[in-house]
Amino acid sequence: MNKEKNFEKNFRDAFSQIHAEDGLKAQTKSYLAQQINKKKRHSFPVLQAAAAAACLFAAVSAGGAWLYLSPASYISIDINPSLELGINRFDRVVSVESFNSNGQDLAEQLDIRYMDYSDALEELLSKQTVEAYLADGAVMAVTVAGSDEEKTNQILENVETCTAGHSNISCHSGDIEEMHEAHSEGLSLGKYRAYLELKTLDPTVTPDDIRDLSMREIRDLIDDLKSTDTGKDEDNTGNSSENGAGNAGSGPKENGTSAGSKRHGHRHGADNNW
Amino acid sequence: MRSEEEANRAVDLYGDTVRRICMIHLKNRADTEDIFQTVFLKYVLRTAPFESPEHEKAWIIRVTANACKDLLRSFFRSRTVSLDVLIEKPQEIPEDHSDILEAVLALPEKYKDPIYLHYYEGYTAEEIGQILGKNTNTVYTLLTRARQMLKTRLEGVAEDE
Repeated sequence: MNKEKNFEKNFRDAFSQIHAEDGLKAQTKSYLAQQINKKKRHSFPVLQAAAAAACLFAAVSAGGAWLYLSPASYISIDINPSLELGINRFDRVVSVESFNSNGQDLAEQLDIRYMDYSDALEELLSKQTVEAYLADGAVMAVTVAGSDEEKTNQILENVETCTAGHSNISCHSGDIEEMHEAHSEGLSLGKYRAYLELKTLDPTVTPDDIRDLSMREIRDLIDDLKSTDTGKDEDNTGNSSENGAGNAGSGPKENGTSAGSKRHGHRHGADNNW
Repeated sequence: MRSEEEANRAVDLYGDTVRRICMIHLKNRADTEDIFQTVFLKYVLRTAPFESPEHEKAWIIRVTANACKDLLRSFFRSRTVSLDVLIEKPQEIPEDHSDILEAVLALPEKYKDPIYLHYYEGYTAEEIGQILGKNTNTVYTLLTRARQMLKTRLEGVAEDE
């Protein structure tokens, strides 16, 4: 028994002399540290790639959404209701903005968002409210504005095609700066141009005076003032000579305004009239 | 994956145990370094938690014993002689109780782990069976035969002296 115990003690003593050398431990630790860091480093490129892909995706999505949702051109429609349709680069209506209470009512009746603008215009013209206005002898001005002239002209051509069946609709093209000015006065582009024309004849007129007037009423006012002016002052403005007297149904061939220095083309609808 | 701190703690805590198992199986320093790296890298890569410190130690012992067995078995190793073996001196055995150490080293491979685990680490035959994946009765047999072989050798040494 003693022999056995003695053997066990000697065995333990023999093996307890064996230790892992400091060098061996240090070497193992440095190897492990290297492996751990390598794994960490390896995981980074994957994360980075994933993050980059996510950023790219977000940027493309945001860019796409911006491209789709931001209007590139505007179609301003004025009868009495004043509406402005924002058209994106893909010819879709992305915004419908109203500039007076009648416009607000009409906008609420229309479900034309994301429609092709030609279809949207057809839809608008077929609305009973609009039809009633037109049948009642109102004049409707459709003004197209955009930063890209070519695109604006293309839209204008389409709009003219759409409105070809109506004799009291006139189509014009404007520019985006003029439209911003109109907005700053709280008017749609079509009405703003009529307002400018009226202002050259009657400088006391304010945007508030005409905001809720129909285009027919503004047109009549202009015609009245013109017929008075031509009688007493031949060279009131450059416009007056162009804007010869006429009734609402047979207006001037060139619709010059006080902003005549600004670039704005004139494309007229069926009877070249407001 | 475990942290660097955990890896260092394991090397400090179990380094001696791994070193002793390496000593009874391997003959040179380079192989011991290999085993250290293999065992502790496995430890670092193991994500499952240990039930207790005893479980952790038993796991380290099993992985070390298996790594040594794999190294000795490898085809490449059995057919070649590493440069390290030729260049480096075989590991030195401490002078005190060198007879016991030499006797253990001289045992056939299969007896080395059970005898070390029983006499140094104090595991029972059943525990050794669990660690090494052997039947308890097999462990008893191995221990009895190993003890007999050691006794014969140590008595022979004593007689010579």
